[in-house]
Amino acid sequence: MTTKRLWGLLKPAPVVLVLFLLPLVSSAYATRVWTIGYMNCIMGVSLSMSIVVAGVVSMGQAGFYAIGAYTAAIMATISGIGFPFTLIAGGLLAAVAGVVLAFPSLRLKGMYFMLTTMAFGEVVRLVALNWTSVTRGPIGITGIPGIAADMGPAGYYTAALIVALLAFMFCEFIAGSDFGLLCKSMRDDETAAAVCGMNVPVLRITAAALACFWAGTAGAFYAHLYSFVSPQPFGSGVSLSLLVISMLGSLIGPLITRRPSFIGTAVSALFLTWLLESLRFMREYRMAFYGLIMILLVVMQPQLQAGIRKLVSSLVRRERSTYAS
Amino acid sequence: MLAQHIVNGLTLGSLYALIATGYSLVFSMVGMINLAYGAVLTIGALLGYHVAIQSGFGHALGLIVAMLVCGVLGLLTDLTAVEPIRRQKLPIYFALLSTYGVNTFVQSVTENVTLKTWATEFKPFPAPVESRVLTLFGLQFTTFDLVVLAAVTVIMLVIDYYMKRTWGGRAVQATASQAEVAEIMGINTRNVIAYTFFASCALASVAGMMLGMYYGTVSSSLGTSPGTKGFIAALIGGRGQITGAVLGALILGLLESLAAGVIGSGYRDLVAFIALVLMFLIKPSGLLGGAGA
Repeated sequence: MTTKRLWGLLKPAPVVLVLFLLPLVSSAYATRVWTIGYMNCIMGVSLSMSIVVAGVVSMGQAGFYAIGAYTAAIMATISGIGFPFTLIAGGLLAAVAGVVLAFPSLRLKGMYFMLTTMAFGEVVRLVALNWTSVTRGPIGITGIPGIAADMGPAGYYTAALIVALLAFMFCEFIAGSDFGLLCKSMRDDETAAAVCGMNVPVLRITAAALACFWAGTAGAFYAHLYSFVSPQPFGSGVSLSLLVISMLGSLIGPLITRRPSFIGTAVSALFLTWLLESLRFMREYRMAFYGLIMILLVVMQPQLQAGIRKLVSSLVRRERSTYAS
Repeated sequence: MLAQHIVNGLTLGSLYALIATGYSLVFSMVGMINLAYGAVLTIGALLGYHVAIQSGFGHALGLIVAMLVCGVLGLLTDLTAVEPIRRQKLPIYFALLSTYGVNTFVQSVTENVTLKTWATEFKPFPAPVESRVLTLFGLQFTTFDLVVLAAVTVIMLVIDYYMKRTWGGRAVQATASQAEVAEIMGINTRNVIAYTFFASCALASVAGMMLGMYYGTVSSSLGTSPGTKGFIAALIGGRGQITGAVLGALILGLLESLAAGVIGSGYRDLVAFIALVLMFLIKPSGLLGGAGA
């Protein structure tokens, strides 16, 4: 069992190695796109984790992203605290905001919770826009120091990859842990879970806070990457694109691995980032494209799921027949 | 000074009331918030501006064109994002996600088109009435404030009359309360829902144009913030109830105006969210909502 588990951990190692070596061969531009892809990975995977594990669907991840970015920006420009600490601080503050948001929503069912999170995301943007004494409003905060003094795109790439890997392993670990199992039982039947002695509010708040932590971390990374933060990139479109990444990920997940995993979300985050960057005419209409995919994913969901299931089962059959022959 | 903030809040609140009513109409039909509403508000304002000011056809024609186009946009939202979900009997919160998709799509296209055709981000949108400041009982009103209050009152009275006194309005109410029974009684509920989407989005264009004149400018991001405030007001007031929506909107407008005037303008947006959270904590079904969450 232990060796099998170790083997399972080693299996993706070649892929990870290739990803680490990638900036050696790719252009500065491509390296940058990958870096953005990893940031989407961090947020997408953590959102998937909170949806899959706890059934907490947040439509306002952009708000936590913005909180992380502004925290890092303000810390780094005013107090001069450096990179890894700003990341942690941004994540923690976003997690605190997540806890505060989760409290009133304990009483809310599905849709009302989603609407509250959406209103939250929008309000964070408006506060960033109007609270000029702290956030400098629409002008934004400039001159945020980078991770290190003279760091090229490859350095940012490596840092983003490491954070993304940490986020991914963290979410996989949570999903497989006892805490994850408790959360899943709560997601499936809240009353039954409560009757079995589980502290449903605590589980729910913790799951939400964990996802928010990573969204905040990604935000802090954003601040260092662009060295400029303004309310403009934190619109509700970001929250939507993350939901699209997460939904597409859970759809294509079974094609990549047979066991439940967030690898599908990670792949869909990188895929969508690349797709929208490579189609030149798409770049300005990126959000429109995300909107369209969202409509398709939602409206066609039963058909898409059935199609994927058929595809997976035919793949499995082919595998079996090759073994037999 | 306090009374002056209340007057300002009343104008803002009555604008929110139009938006919240639009949300509320759709909510009473399909039990969800149409998140594409914010983008439709923007389209309404921009179209109204284009026809009325840019092309110089006057405000009346601008309003008619904006209402028709936005109404059709509402129908399209229903057809592409809401009806398929109802037909396949998927959970209704799916419609929240798909209308969110519609919103993002329309918003993004609008932003890019205005960016390409306009040299500036904002364009001035004058009201059809001469802007003057009147003083009544020591309080200051602009003429436009009075126009807004009068127009919103008339619109709400018309909606009220339509809902209570006409066959169509009763069909809407019947569908809202018991869709299956309404169907048995010979009401084509499918059409009623489509009409409601049309009417609600036509109302959005009225609200959008008024907002443009209220701010004095139009831009491609005009509807984003009022769109959010509108659904917050609709949820505060009670789900799917027009009276509740108007009440919630007026309260929200007053709170915002007071927060901006008394505490500081940075807090005006926070107040709306805090009000929503408090409402959910105290009474999740809203001010005029029934018992239960």
